[in-house]
Amino acid sequence: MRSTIRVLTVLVIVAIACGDSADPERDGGLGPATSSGSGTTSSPVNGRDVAPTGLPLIDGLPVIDVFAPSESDAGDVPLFRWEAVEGAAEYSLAVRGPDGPLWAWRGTGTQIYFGGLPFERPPGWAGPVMVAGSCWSVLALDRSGHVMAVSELLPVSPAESPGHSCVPGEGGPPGE
Amino acid sequence: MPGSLRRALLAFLVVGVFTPTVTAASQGSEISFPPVGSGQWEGLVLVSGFITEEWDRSDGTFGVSVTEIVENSVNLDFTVDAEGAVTEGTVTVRLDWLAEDVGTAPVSHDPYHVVHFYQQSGTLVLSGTAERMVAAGTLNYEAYTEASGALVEGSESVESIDVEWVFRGFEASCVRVSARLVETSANAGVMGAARLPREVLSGSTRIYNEIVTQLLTWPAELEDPDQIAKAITAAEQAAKDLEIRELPEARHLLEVVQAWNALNAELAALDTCQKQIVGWVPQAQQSWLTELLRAALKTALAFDIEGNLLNVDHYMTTELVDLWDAGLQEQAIDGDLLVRFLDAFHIKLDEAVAEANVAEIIDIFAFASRFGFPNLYDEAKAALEAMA
Repeated sequence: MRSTIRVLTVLVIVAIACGDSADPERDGGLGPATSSGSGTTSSPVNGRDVAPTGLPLIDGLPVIDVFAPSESDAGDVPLFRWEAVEGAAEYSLAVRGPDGPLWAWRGTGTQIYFGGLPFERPPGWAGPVMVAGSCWSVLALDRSGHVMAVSELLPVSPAESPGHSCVPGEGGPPGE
Repeated sequence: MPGSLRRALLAFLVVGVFTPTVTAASQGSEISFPPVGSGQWEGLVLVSGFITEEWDRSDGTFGVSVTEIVENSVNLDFTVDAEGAVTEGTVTVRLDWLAEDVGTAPVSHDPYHVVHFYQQSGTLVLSGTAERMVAAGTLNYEAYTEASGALVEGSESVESIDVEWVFRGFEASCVRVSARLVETSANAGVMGAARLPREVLSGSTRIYNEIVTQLLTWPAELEDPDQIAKAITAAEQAAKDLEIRELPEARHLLEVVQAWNALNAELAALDTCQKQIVGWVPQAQQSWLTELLRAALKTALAFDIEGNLLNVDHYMTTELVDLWDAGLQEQAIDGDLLVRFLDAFHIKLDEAVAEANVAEIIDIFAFASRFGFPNLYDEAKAALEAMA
């Protein structure tokens, strides 16, 4: 009886894991970034809708799929996650606030908390906090530092947000 | 009122009117010297404020006296042994105060104005524990009196007096022990008067005490933990290396950021006591890092005397983006730097267009696109479309 229960438990776990993998291309493992298409992206981790689509930064370049954070209720120190890009030497993440550039990060990983800590910021630790109406994007850079793939320009806010648009090339500090 | 009577009054008030009470430290909590540093401690006794006395006589005459601390220098030096006891302790005393009396003399009703000057000086021996410290010994006690600006003949006096001041500790942390004055011997002068209640009403005499005293001690020598000292040195060296560079690159900025992060990691690993010992480390503050990086970026994008960017030819477009990202990561991009960077990217875009360098144009287009610089965006986009 115990062995039967154990087998059934394993089968259930496998079924749940397989059920989240809706994108056959993603099932093929690492590869060039593919277009995320229209609509929201489902997280393979928890199945919830995250990171809604935005406008592409540069037409014609491969698009990086992003997993987190969601557009609203992202929290003060959200975690940014995206799909790895084959051949990328480094990633560049940028956050633009409603008043101008907010924060930037460079690294080889595919996730980072806002502020740059590799783990969730403990209470009381100093660091930047997300601002409502911000926009973010991630680039994949080749070994020469040139852009080889781009995400869309995505909206993000720490709390519930009525929605705001992120238009590439617009929304920066006045006077440019 | 002559100095001797003044002292007697204070002594009377201390002994006859006021019964010193022991001020208890936090009930149930132990007050002791923490075992830190070399065991050498130092400190001071703060004595400040004034006492006002007023009295009325049945014949209609009156008097007002205000005693005020003028000079306060009471410094402590002592050693704390392994059992927490004070040894080799000295208290160097210099206390000056004056009492200014105005009123009308009894019987004659003549007005008077007299100022008495007092000074206690010398060295006392300090002993005891953090719970109860005792400063005792002999002080020089000088007094002289002036009446309406003229020195009253025979009013000067100099004598040696034995005093004892008792302090009870009420607060102890890793780097400080604080205590209150709880007992004084008779004839203790202004320190005795400090022990009076805030208000004393005795017949026709009214006394209002605004003198405050507090003893503060701290370890004389404390060295930062070795790993902290090394991390501070590393951060300072990285900063110096950056400051002398004429053409800083992003990796040089990131070396400082790395050293700064390492220092903050060491500070975060300290326990509560060690954190207090180390105290505030300027090199660990974000403002220190931000200003350093900002200055380096302004060196990289310095202007010549004609207002042109001096070094833009030295940097590739990707290196300018690297510098931007390194600066923005630590909030070092201010309005001035933003303008300089935009000027640089416009120059680089013109060069990339002239050279038909698509990769560089894309880099600039991506920069303008994600950070919202419309003019740069439009120009880069137009250049790409022209090449398509």
